[in-house]
Amino acid sequence: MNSLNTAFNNTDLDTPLLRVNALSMLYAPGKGCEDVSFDLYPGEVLGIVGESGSGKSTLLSCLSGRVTPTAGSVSYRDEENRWLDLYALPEARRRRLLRTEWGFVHQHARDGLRMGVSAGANIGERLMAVGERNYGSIRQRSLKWMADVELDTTRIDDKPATYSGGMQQRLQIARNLVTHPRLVFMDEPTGGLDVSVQARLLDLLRGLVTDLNLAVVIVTHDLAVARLLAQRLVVMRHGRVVETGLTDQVLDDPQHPYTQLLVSSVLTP
Amino acid sequence: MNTMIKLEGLSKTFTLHNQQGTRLEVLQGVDLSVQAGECVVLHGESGAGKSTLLRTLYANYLPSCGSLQVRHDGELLDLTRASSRELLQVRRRTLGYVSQFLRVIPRVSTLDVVMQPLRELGIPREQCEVRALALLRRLNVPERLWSLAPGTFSGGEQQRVNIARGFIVEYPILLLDEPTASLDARNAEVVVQLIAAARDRGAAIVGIFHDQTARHAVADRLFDLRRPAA
Repeated sequence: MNSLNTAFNNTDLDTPLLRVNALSMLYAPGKGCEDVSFDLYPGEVLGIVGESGSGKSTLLSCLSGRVTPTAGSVSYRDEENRWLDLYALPEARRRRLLRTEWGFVHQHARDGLRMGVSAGANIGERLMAVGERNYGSIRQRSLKWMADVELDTTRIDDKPATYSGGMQQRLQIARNLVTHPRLVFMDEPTGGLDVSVQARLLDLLRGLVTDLNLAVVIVTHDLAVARLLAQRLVVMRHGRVVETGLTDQVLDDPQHPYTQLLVSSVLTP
Repeated sequence: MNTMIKLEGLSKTFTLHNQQGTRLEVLQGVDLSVQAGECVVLHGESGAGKSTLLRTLYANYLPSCGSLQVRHDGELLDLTRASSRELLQVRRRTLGYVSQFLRVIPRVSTLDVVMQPLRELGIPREQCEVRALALLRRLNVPERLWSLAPGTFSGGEQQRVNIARGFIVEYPILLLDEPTASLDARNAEVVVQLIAAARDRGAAIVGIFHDQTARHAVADRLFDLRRPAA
């Protein structure tokens, strides 16, 4: 069984996990995203950068099955190695993907957490969604994940509202990763946090991505965050992709006038 | 002879779109071959394009025209046509690059910084640690610093951490940008020994050394770069 698994995984790594083809979702001309195509491989971290209003978040919503695009397709290869056309799937199946094989980390933790229930229940909820029913085991795994994201495990029964912003963000990450998703979408995950908290969260994310071999699509306007986490970058402007490439190549030798402007406008302390 | 790097007609022009479209022609028609077990030192005045050539070899800069082949997994691969995924694999297994300055990541310890390239090859942590510790010791990085993030280290200490990181994987090709620049004579000598050992195991090395002693000690030949005529 083990050797079979390994053999399967090796070929698995050379086949994309997500295929995006000519994806468009326009609210108005230049508003939204237009004609975006790329492949994402297992274990790969793709950064999407651009200013506010460049269409990054719209693209992320379309990729993650949350907003139906006006044109183009998103295909996902599931755990059984079947290709699923995301927007041809029944709504219920799409929602189930988001609760099981996928994760979504929102910029504001309260959008991704249930504020009315305890931290432990927030983590346990996703386990129950995949069929786990044993209360003891759910609690054990919740505790383990709280420790993994460096949260105080004695606060498992506290509601997230009593947590600080940085703690809420780590709780949201634990909630997403407890079911071992293969693909995680992140929308400005370090956005509203203090820099000291940001550094800690980035360090945590970097470790988790490597250890779990996660594929990640991360939207950020912070080029330093992109450099730290992403192997590949997509630069967006007015809803279109203006440049793509290896992260350090795009940041150190930007080709497009807009990318050059973006990179040269960053203040380095 | 086993050619590890082969550049043909390699040119690099920077176009500064937001500064009146200024064009900087830094490299023009560079031809260069480097064999396994050979150390080529780039030579030329400041602004001649030495660092640009090194960064282009690492696919950090995009060439404007020409071809840039490196031997990866036994075959010559043209990096100007390679996909991002191929480039990452080439960097992981074939191309090592020691930049002039260490890029510090908050909260990541010196030991982890040094081990990371080896860890990315899937080598178990314990093995990586043994090699990392040996390199840090050899480069005289004080033991009390190993568990600390290098952000507050001196320039020389950071550079030695960077060198340990660059040498932890036995890359078939090594690109070295002034690896001895802020080191004292004793540590510069250690780096020279590391480079000689890499060359002896068959690595192809391209480097920039302003320090004459180090340059004489490692160079098999010099490669002249001239600023293109305006």
